[in-house]
Amino acid sequence: MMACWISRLWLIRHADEYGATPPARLARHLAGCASCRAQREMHRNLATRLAATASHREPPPFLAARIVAAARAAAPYRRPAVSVHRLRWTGAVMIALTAGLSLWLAIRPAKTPRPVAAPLELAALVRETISRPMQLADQQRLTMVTRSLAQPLEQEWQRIQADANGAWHTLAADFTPSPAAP
Amino acid sequence: MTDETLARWWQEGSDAAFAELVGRFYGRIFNFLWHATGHREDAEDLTQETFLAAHRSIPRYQPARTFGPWLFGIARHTLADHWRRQRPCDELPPDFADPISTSENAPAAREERGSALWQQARRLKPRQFEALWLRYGEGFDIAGVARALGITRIHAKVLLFRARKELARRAGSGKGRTKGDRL
Repeated sequence: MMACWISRLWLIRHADEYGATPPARLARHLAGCASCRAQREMHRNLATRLAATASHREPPPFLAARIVAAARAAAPYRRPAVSVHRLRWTGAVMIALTAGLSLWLAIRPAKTPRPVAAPLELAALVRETISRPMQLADQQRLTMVTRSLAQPLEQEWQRIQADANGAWHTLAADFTPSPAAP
Repeated sequence: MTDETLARWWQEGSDAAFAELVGRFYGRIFNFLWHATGHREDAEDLTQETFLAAHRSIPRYQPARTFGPWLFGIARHTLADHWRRQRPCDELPPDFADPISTSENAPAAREERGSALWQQARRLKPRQFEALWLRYGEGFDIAGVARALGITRIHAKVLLFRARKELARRAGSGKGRTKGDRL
């Protein structure tokens, strides 16, 4: 046998709906339970009487005009340049973007920093390079470079000296008096 | 033209749409407030306050929702403000007479005397009376009642169930009206 409280739950939902037919189990309960049956009838009759006796009185005829005039005088409504709904959506999108960016910055994987020599370490490296004794290979390479640079200069110097000697002999021959002359 | 379409035009600044909606709803709002307060002058003022509040709130109205329950919700808030402004007293004077039944309009008064059930309903808690009026006086469905009262559908059904039960109890016992019921 269905309990009365289950029947009351159905009554709460459908008591004033005449079209609502109770389920088979509830119908059996109502058939056998005078209390629930009386409750159901009471609610349905009350709903019918309330709907039938609700009186509607005529409002004063001037009231509508008074309301419209008062609304126009109070603050004439003008449509905002940007609708409230659009402002709400724009604000919501901006908040979502800001929150997403903040979240991404908070949880993004940290980049491995590029190794950069500290200034002191760099200075020590330069100092060591300068003070390191020159190796044999370095000396030979330096000699070769020096020779390759000095050889053309030496040849040029010899040519200049030969030219100078020739010029000296020519001048000397021109200005030296001949012994054969009287 | 549906109420919702007119409300959308009202949102866009149409005075004509506003006037049309006032013409459609001011009688219903007036009846609701008159039955709730029992005072014709109060009902007139509260009806005007309701539409002025709606005029201020129309940018927030969503046309996808039914206009009637939205407007009745504003009327209900206006009514609640009215009750808050009233001077509190525990018990009405013994010679209190329901203004509706002693109205100057004799045929209407006779008609009101016939609806003693609604006179009893006015003595329920405000929210119970509002639910009953919206459901049976205005003919709103449960969803409309729930939207106007700002509650869920199940809550609206429970509220109506309790209101009917209390009304049946009072109608049977003839319990008198106390102002404390409304506070």
